[in-house]
Amino acid sequence: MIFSVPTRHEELTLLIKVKTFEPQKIRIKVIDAQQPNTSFTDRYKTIDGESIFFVRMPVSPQEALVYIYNEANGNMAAGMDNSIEIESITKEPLEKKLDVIDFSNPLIRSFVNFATRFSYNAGSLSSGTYASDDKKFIIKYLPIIEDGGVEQTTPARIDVDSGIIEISKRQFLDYTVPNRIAILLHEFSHVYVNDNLDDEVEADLNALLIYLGLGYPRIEAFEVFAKTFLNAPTEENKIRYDKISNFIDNFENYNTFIHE
Amino acid sequence: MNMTREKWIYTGVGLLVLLVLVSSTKKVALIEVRESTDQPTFDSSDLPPALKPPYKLAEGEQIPRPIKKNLYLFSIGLKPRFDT
Repeated sequence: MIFSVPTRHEELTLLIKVKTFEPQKIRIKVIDAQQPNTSFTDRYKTIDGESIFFVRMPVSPQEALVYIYNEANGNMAAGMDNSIEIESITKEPLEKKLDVIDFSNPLIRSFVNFATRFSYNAGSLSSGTYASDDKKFIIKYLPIIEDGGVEQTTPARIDVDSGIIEISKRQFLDYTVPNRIAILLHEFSHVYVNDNLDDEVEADLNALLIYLGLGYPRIEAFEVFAKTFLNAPTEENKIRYDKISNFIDNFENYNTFIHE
Repeated sequence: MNMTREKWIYTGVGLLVLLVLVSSTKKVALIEVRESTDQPTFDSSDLPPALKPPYKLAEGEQIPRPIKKNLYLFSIGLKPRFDT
């Protein structure tokens, strides 16, 4: 089933109430009806009875398309699939924690604006070099990231000498808008927020503090790190994942201290 | 007299909170649509300023020197990647 929801570029949370009659793996996708390669979530949950999907959207399209279906049966029209009922879709205000973000820092303000605009439009932007309005930040949107002619597995990296961020367009197109924001904030944190600029865990946690404070969904943060670490399953990345997981769990309780 | 006045104030505040809660939660009419095979038309000029595409440098245009921070001697040449 696909439902059209007018979101009008507002900040909001979508509550999607779903009912099943036995345990079913239910897939939810929220995409932009107009802009290509632009999605806001793509996740599943096994539901037995009633359940609600919360889709936090600090950035939303003019019109969102909400895909809901039972993975076992595929995407069928309403009335065709008796294993699932969509009870309601509700728009609620977005909960943010802006007090955890140091918005008195003009670099953070500028980069959040730049990263938001880049991430939302990355699905239709052509390869090239992009600059923030104040020209303090540069993103090279490359078809792929390569070293010595070999394509790299990373979706992004930052040159600490110049501050220039390189993004792999091939990989970025597959990511949701929140995934893209999390990646860009990680690269930004390395050079502009971290005390120790090559500390990956510190960059992860500094990025997550901004990301979660802006109201982006926790599940999308887990997903982007998990997806990347699956491509590079090192012992260090396992430790990173555990620390990220712990940080996200504690965020709601304000137990978020970054000691690295 | 004071007790009655207080009760009215609390009732008023309660109603106000209820009104805010009710008006901020909007049930969406469930409008089912078919999957389109056509490429959607997208015009970025319709976007609000906070979502407009960022500035793209023209071919051959000088790349502005971005600001640097936290640089130290051993960091020269370092390129931290997202996946390591």
